[in-house]
Order: sequence, then structure tokens, then C-alpha cells
Amino acid sequence: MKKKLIAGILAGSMLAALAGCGGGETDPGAADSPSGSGSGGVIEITIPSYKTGENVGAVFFEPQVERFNQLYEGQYKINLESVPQDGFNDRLKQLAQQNMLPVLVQGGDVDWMANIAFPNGMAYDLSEWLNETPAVKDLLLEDGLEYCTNEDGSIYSLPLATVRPTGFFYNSALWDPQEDLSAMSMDEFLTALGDQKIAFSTAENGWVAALFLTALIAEEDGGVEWLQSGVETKITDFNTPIFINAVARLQELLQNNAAPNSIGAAYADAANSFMSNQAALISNGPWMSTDFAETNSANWSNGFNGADVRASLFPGQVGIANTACFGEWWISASASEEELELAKAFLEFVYSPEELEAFLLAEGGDAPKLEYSDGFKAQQGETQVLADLAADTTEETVFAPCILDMIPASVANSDFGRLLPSLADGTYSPEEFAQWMTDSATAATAE
Amino acid sequence: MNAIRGRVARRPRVSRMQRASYKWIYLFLLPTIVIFVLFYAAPIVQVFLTSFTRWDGFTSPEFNGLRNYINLFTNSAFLQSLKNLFFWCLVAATLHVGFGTLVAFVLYQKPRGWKATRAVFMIPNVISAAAWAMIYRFIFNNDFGVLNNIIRGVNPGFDVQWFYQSPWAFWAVTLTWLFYAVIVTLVVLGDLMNIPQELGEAARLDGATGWQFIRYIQLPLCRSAIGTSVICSLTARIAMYEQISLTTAGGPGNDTMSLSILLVNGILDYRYGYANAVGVVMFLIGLLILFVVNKLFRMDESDY
Repeated sequence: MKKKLIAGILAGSMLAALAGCGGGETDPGAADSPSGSGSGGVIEITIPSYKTGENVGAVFFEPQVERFNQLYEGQYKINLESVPQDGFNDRLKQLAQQNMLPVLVQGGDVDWMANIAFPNGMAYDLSEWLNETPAVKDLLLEDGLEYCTNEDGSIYSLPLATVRPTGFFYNSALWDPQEDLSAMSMDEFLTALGDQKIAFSTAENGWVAALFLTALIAEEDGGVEWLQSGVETKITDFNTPIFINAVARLQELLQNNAAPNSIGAAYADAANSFMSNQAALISNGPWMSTDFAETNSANWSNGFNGADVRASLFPGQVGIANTACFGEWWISASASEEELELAKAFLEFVYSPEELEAFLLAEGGDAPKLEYSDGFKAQQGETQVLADLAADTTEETVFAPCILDMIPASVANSDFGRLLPSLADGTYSPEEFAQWMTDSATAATAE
Repeated sequence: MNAIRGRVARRPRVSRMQRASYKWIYLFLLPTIVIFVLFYAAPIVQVFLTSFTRWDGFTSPEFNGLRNYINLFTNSAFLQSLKNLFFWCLVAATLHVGFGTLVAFVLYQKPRGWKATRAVFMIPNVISAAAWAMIYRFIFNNDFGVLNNIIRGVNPGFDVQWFYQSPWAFWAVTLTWLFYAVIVTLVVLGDLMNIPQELGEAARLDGATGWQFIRYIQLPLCRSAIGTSVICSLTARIAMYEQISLTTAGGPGNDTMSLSILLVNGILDYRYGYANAVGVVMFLIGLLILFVVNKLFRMDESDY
């Protein structure tokens, strides 16, 4: 009898443990979820973010959240859950599947937002709040507002107020052209470049090479329009002279001007190449400016000095930026009234002139509809590369979206980078490269 | 009739005590069955069913017949990944398992330092595949990699991008796992140690040489262990992801493409139905391997 009792208890415990593992429905507002309301009158939430820790975006974002928490001390509090940038979009999808999206959602995979999250009612409609908050709405980029506004007038993603055109950085200690590089044609620029080395990344998604390719496409007749055609429907046909000509020029650059370790180089390798005087030029966004600050000198080697770095938009006054896009923030539809209150306060804070100016000073860019303060104008000139980019960004600037944002996700993340080494070593011709991209994109979008 | 009666009469009778113990056996099995149904059977059934649908992972799946499979079998990357899998399986079943078995036989002789060797041989298995992939990226780097620097000592003009150049990439990826066969070694070594001493003594009395002892006694008695190792090695090749994703990502071109990369790409494009079709193919290949290896190595037959 005793044996039976023990056996029964053991079997029962195992089943109970199993049931415990299974769990029940979780309240999205519960304390152990990514978002949760605190007690004691303070509305407190936790949001996942990749702009934490060592991420380059953390330099500005973490103190910004801290400023918000201080400003609203005793009323609102935001905690950050650190998520690696590589897995951030997947984390959001996972939370969405569990119906546990954070109150404030920091971007996400654009395709997922457009095709899954927003059409399936996961986001809160910001249109009414924007109409009631002209201080924010008046700062939004026109293209972005138009893109984010749905046919029924709803707005799920808060459009951007800033544009940060991507150009390139060059080391003036290795190469010091006196001309205005962005005003040149691409041919003139390449002639001026001579045999100077360019840091390319050709592994991962080939980010640095993709930026250069975007600039080369934008230089072609109809290139910008071709790139912009991918905003609405992803590009799947690459067998066009615009793309093939640009790829041919990229192939020449990879063969003649690539830094020694470019083949198989990840972004970190390319950045290292530039910051160790092995390459005179690297293409990247203005956020890289923090790498050239004295505080980052531990990452420099071989005599590299961040103070020597200058920046420019691409020849033909091309700046890589997509203004017709989703913004950085949206609010989960499952947020409670209190959480909505906090989220709106945070967005208003982030879009305040002071915070926008602080952001531009830290990471560069331009807020076209913001009237800058005198203090901002004075400080902007202190960071050389940001001042260079600001000087190049004029009404004449041609904004072109990055090629990687205009093609199916798997092609951008994997297929494009996978063939770059073969393009560089001549195994694939530009035409074959275009055909490969077409085949990959067609396969990736097959119904 | 008598025969039937006889058979009925011979059926073992289940005692009341045995019947009572069945209740407890089933009760103790219940958690395992629940786990199996929830975490194995149900997902597998779901993968099978949704492989015939168009599904973005969030909205309801829509039945689309064999469309995912047609797309799959007309995709050159898929055909190349099948070809790659075949060659990897061939290499795994021969060189990888062969090397692990050889090491097991050497360790069985207990040469000086065999325990230390076994521990060192184990180290790669306690380091994640992702970390190894990154280490190999450095080893095979054309500019500062150890391998090319050694080769350049003999041939100064040597210039090969192992992970990014055809046909080297396939072999470079293969080398990231080829010699890490400690599981094979441990499984075979376990079987070797279980061979009764009397067999060895009898063979020696009959005048068997060392090689004959290995060839006719030890190897046949390790048949099940080697078969198990082959199954483990081949199924690991089907599921292999990190070593490829973090080195070549399937390139250059489709040279190192694998089913697991295609599956992840399907998910990246929100084509869960298509990704699950890839999963079904992986599952069926796994079953086929199990069946073939079981037959080849007569795994269901006892050695003793």
C-alpha cells in the first residue's frame, strides 16, 4: 500500500510538473512580460531594445531613456531589456506570436510590420493623437507621413522627423581630395580615387558593398526611380541595364580598390580595415561618427586617428536614405490606458526639439522641419564628419533607398552577400549576377 | 482444432498482480507520452499539414496543394543542397565515422596518455558549433589565416579564399566538422570495452593475429555501435546549420547550400508553408537514412 502511495505521488508530481511547464494564458501586462505596470502610482514598462550595451545606438538611446525617466520621475518609468541587434526582429515576432508585444515597439522587420503586424491589428492607431499633438505632427517628414498613413487614415508607425543620409567616410591622412566630392560625377570621383583602397564587407549581407552599389545604381539614368520602385513592391527583376551597369562598376571596384581583407569580410572586418589605415574609404551611415571620437581610440590601430576622418555624400549628391518608410516607434494595440499615456508621453519627449537636436548632434542627420537653435548650430560644427554631411545635405540632395531594403528579405540577408565574393573574383559576370539575383528573388516570392 | 486449443492453452496467463502493475506502468508512461504528443508528434503533424499551405506564420494557413513542393523541387538551390547533403553524408559515413572508429581502436589499446588524449579529443564537442565556425573563419582567412600562411611558407604565391571560392568552399565547410568524431569514438569504445575477454583469449589460442582479431571479432561486434554512429553523423549533416550559416551562408553561389539554410530563408520571407515543406523533406530523408542504416548494419540483430 505504501509503495502504491509513493508511486501515485510520484506520478502525480510528474504530471503536475508538466502542467506547470505548459503554463496558462499570460496577461500581457503581467510583471514578467516585456511590458508591465508597476505599483505605487508609477506607470512602469519594460521594452526590448537592441540599442543597449555595446550597440552603437546605445550611446544616445540609453541616456535618452534615462532623461525621460528623470523628467517623469514618480509618474512614468521605462526599463530596457537588452536584445542583440541580430536577433531583435525575431524577438519581436516571437513576442507578437505570444500576444506579448511590448507597449512601445522599436521598429522591427519592415515586411513583417507592413504585411503581418499592422494588418492584423497589433498596432495602436496614432492618427488621433497626432492630430491632437501638432508639436509632433508638424515635424514629421512629408514622405514618411504619406507612407505611414493608410487608406482609412490610420497611422500605426510614427513617421520620422529626421533624415540621416548615408554617404561615406574617408581618411584625409591617406587621401585628401580638395574638391567637393558629392558634387562630382561618379566617373570623376573614381578617377580622383585612383588606387586608394575602399573597405568593403562581402560577408553577412554585404552591407558596405550594398551601400556602394546603391550609389552606383542611383548614378545610372532612372536608377533612383528603379530603387524607389521597391518601396511598394519588392524588386524581383534585376535584368536591367541600370542594375547590370552598376554591378559591373562595383565589380571593378572590388577587383581594383578593395582593401586586402574585403573578400569574406563582415562589417566589423571592414570597419577594422578602415580604422587601421588599411583602407582610405568606407561607406556607412552617420551613426559611425561615434567610432571616430577620441573616446573610441582603443579600437584604432596602425596610426589611425579619428580626427583625420572626413565625410561626404556620394557623387551626384546622392544620399542613401529612404524617407518613404516606417518610423522607429509604434505602440502595441494591447497597451492599457495607463501604458498608452506613458507611451505617448515618451514619443512626445523623443520628438521634442531638444531631444531631436541632441539626437542629430550624437548621430548626425537633418530634421528638415525643425527650426534649429543657435546652440545646436554652434555644436554641430564641432563634430567634423557630421558637419561635413550636414553641409552636403541640401535641397539638391538626391535621396535613394538602399538596395537591401528594396529586395526580398532572404535575398537581402543571405543571397546578395553570398555571391559578392564570386563577383569579386570574376567567377560571375555582372549579367550572371543579375540573373542570380532575379532567380533568388523570384524563388523567394513564389506563391 | 486441437492445434488451436493447444495455442490458446499455451498463451501466457497474466496474473492479477501483473495486471495491477500495468496500471502503474501506464501511469508512469503517461508523462512521457504527453511530452511526446505535445512536443514531438503534434509539431510534426503540424509541419506536415502546413507544408501544403500558403502560410505567413501569423494568419490562417491557406491550402495550396503541392505548390510548395513544386516550388521546392524546381529551385536550383534545393537541388544543389540535396547534392551537397549526399556528398556530406558520404564523407560522414566513411571518413568521419572511420576516423572516430580508428581513434576508438587506438584508445582501446590504452597507449601512454590515452586518457588525456580522450579528454582533448572531447574538447571540440564542448565548444559550440557557432564558435568553431568563427574560429575556422580565422583559420581559413586568406590574408592572416594560419593555413594559408603555412602553405605560403612553401608556395609564396598561394592565394585561396577557402570559404568564398569554388570548389574550395565545400571542402572548407566539410573540414569544420570532419575530424570532430568524439561521439563516434565514445560509442565504439564503449562497445569495444564490452567485448568479453574470453573471446580474445580464445582467438589468441587459435592463433589469430592482431589484425585478424580486429577484422573478424572486434569490428563485427562493434557493428551496432558503428551503425549508431553512422546514424548520428548523417542526421547531424541533415540538421547542420551554424557551420554553414556563419561561414559561407551557403555560398559561393549555392556551393555549400543546405536544406537548413533554405528552411531559414523561407522563414525570413514569411513563407512558413514553404519552410515546412523543406522540413518535411529533411524529416523524410532522416527516416530514409534510419531505415537504410538499420538494414545495412543489421541493427535489430543481437551480437551475442
